[in-house]
Amino acid sequence: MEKTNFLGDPWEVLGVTREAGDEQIRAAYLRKLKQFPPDRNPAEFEQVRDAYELLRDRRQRFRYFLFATDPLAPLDSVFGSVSSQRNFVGPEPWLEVLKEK
Amino acid sequence: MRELIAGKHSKAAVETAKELHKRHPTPSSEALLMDAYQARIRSLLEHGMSIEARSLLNLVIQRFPSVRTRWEQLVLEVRMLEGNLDEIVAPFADPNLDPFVREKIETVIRQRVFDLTALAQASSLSPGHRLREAARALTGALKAVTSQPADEADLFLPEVSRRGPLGSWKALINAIAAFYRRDDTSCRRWLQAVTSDSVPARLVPVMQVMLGSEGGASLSSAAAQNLVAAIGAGEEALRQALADLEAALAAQKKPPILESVRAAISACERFRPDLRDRLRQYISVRCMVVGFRPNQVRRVLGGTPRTDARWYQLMATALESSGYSESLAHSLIAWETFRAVALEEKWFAAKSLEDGVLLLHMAGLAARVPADLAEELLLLTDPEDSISQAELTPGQLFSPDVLYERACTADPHSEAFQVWLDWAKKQRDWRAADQVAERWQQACEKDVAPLLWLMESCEKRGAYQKSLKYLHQAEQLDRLNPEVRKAKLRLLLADVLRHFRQRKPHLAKSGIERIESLLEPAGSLAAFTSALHRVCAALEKDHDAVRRHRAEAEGHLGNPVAAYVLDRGIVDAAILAPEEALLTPLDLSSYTGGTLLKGLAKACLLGDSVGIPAAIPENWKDRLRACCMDLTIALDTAEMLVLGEAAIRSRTPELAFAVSVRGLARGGADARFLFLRARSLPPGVSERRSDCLSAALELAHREGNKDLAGKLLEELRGRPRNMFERDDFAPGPEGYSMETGFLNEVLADERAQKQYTMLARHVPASGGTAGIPANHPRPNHIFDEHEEFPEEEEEDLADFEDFLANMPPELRRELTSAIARGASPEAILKRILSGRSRELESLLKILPPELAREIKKAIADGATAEQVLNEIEAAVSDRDSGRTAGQRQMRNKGKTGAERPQQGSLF
Repeated sequence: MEKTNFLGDPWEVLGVTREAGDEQIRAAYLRKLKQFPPDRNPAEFEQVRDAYELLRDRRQRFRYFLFATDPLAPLDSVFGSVSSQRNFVGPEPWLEVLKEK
Repeated sequence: MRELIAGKHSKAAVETAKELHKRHPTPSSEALLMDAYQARIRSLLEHGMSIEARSLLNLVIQRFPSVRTRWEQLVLEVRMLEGNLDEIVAPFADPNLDPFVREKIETVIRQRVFDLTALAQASSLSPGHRLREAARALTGALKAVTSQPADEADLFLPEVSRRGPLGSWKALINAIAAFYRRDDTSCRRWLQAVTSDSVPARLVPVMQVMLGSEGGASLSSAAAQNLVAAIGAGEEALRQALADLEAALAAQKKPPILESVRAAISACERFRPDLRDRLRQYISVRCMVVGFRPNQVRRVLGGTPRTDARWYQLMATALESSGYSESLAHSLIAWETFRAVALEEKWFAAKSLEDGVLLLHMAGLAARVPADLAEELLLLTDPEDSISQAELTPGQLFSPDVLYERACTADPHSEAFQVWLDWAKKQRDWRAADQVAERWQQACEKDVAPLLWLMESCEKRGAYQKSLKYLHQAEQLDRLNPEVRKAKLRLLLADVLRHFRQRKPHLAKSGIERIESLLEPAGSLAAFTSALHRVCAALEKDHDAVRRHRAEAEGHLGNPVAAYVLDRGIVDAAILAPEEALLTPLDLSSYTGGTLLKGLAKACLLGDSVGIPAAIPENWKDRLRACCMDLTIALDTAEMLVLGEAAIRSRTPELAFAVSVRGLARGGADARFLFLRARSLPPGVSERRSDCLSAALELAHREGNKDLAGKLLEELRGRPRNMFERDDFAPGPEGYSMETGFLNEVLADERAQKQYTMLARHVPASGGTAGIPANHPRPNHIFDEHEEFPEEEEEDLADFEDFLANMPPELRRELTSAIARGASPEAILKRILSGRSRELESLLKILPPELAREIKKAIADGATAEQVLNEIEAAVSDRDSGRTAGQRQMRNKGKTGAERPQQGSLF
């Protein structure tokens, strides 16, 4: 199977939506290259380049879409890459629990 | 009376106690009555009937004033329920407050006061009272820690004594602050400091749930559920449940898995209902991977997971990643069902580029499903029926040709056609590849690759003119393309060699001239044309020209040995006798080891570049091996590798081994020298060879050497562990991954081996096994199928191979499958040679095909001919006697070999 070692979301790395076409992806790639030149940000540059390789044309994008999901990955991957939030809610909801016997 | 009180029948207890006290008034009866009243008042309080409780309390105190002091706490509790905090704390204004009363008030504050703002504003407390200050500070701190990241200063709370009635609040506030800064350990520690009967203790179980602690209580109250939902912290609990499930799946123990699945689904429904469907899909796939049947999965999940396109995608990917033939076949079916559902769900359109990408992938899978397995699966179904909702019939689904054709129609591009052509080249019928190339040429008119293939194909069939036509077309498209130039050189050279074979040197000359026009006028390639001229001259018996051209070649190459090897290569390729080509054997003693090795390497390099691979003369081998071991002779990596390849080609494994010893000792190209080492090993050490190939593949992957990785994969798949046929269980590239520790072990072992030997490398202490993915979720016993035969059995293998070669193909296939599944060749041999096997063989010829097939499978799975015949006799006897045969198991239940994984059928 055509597996990829890319970690994270390539659309997110390039800063484009999932609906972005070839031209938009290329433009975003060039923008990111300017932002992360290889001599100053080699790690970021590499990530941007790899992300572009995965998305550069419709065929590549569909391949990535088909095979990037790993059903054997840890189950908590269903949450996606965003770590869970702990929202500040003020004292009221806390006090509501305390009121209960 | 006591029983009535304990049983919460306080009203009846009061009535009975009153009656008793009325009839027989004693101190004991009074005490009993007081207890009954107290229970009644508490019961009223519990039911929120504060007015009734207060009235009854006043009445009792009025009639029995002596209880007032004893009932101080009850009085306070009644006041508390009435919300009369002022009255409760009013006694604190008395500097001479009885410590007993103080303690009772403090207990009530600890256990009942949740409104700290009210406490801070209690009018009966003096303005600077410690309790007021503490309540005020805690109110502010609670607001601070629940609204934003807390400052250390907010948490210090010097106004609050840890031992005071509000001490637990201080611990709670610190726990909340730690929770928000994700310091969960500290949070748990603070929660432990909360007194269990205090008001803050009501939040402890809720916070434990939010921390994802094991054994966290369920959230029964709406307020608790609202709090968790508002904070979004239920995810922690869900994550913990998923981690538990992950551990249970890894342990592959059924009851804990079922329990963990239930817990995870329940947590998901509570905290992240939006993820429920997706999680059920993942869990169902994971459960099936570890061997649960679909109905078991449905039961534990509480229903069928949503079988949409995403689910089929997950299932297909999971099945495919195992790499086993049966799973691959099921994966193919899953992909096809995915395709049908995805089309319905409008993920993509039929015959679109995306459809082509998917079909191309499916074609690759179909090509990996062994033909006999595909046949077996096709037998189970009508090949004309469509699979589930899918468009393709099973017959089409298992045909790589049909799938490639559809893929290339949907998305006609060079890469897809190249894959199809590569597959077609491996088919027996040469026309298949030609037809693909023709389709390719029609679809992508500017591609030269199909023309080059057609040219080569025609050339192989001797259709030289047609071949030239294709070359001409390719040149028109891209004359400067190196592949085209190379193909042209090969074609012209083939023509020259053909004329040599036909002893027509005059015709060969014009071909040589055309070759000269293609090549650089100087250097190694010029030496090559000189060598061709030399053969031409030899055929014309022009001795002067022969000497002249040889001198030219030697001049260009700078090495007489190289010129000789080149001449010899051309003579061999033209199938001429050396004498006829005036080629006299070289006197090796005249040349130093360095000249010999370097000359040979140079000629081999040149031969490879023009498509005439040089062979090493038989009588050179010992000298070359000795020279190779002489480290004073400098050889670079390229020279060593080309010598190694020539040695393999010339079937000189000892020389190839010697080259690999030198190459591995030098370092820097370990992948390539391990590849060479693997191929130089004798057939009896297949495990060691497999280790070398797997290690080389791992290194090639790490070096990003795709070309070498492809060759290695081909070699690994083509050199099955069962030694008799291509590996039906061949995993994908990831299936051969090797852990670094084992890789280093293989490298160190191979570096240490300096002598060509027939012995297998020792099994490493780590017990690592090549080909087993390091972290593959499949159980180990599945991989045991691939274990090598024990060394003592290897002696029997040669005999067994001969035996197999002479047996009917169908039976041979069954036997090799059994061996691949772990059966011992020796045992099979014994079984086959047992007395009744011939009898069985005759019987098989007259039995209905289905039954014959069953019997063959049973034999392959371990049953003896004796057992099978007995079973048949018993079945016939049962039938004749009118009895039902029942569940007669023909297969040998006590087989020792590892069994195939039981893949629950999903479809």
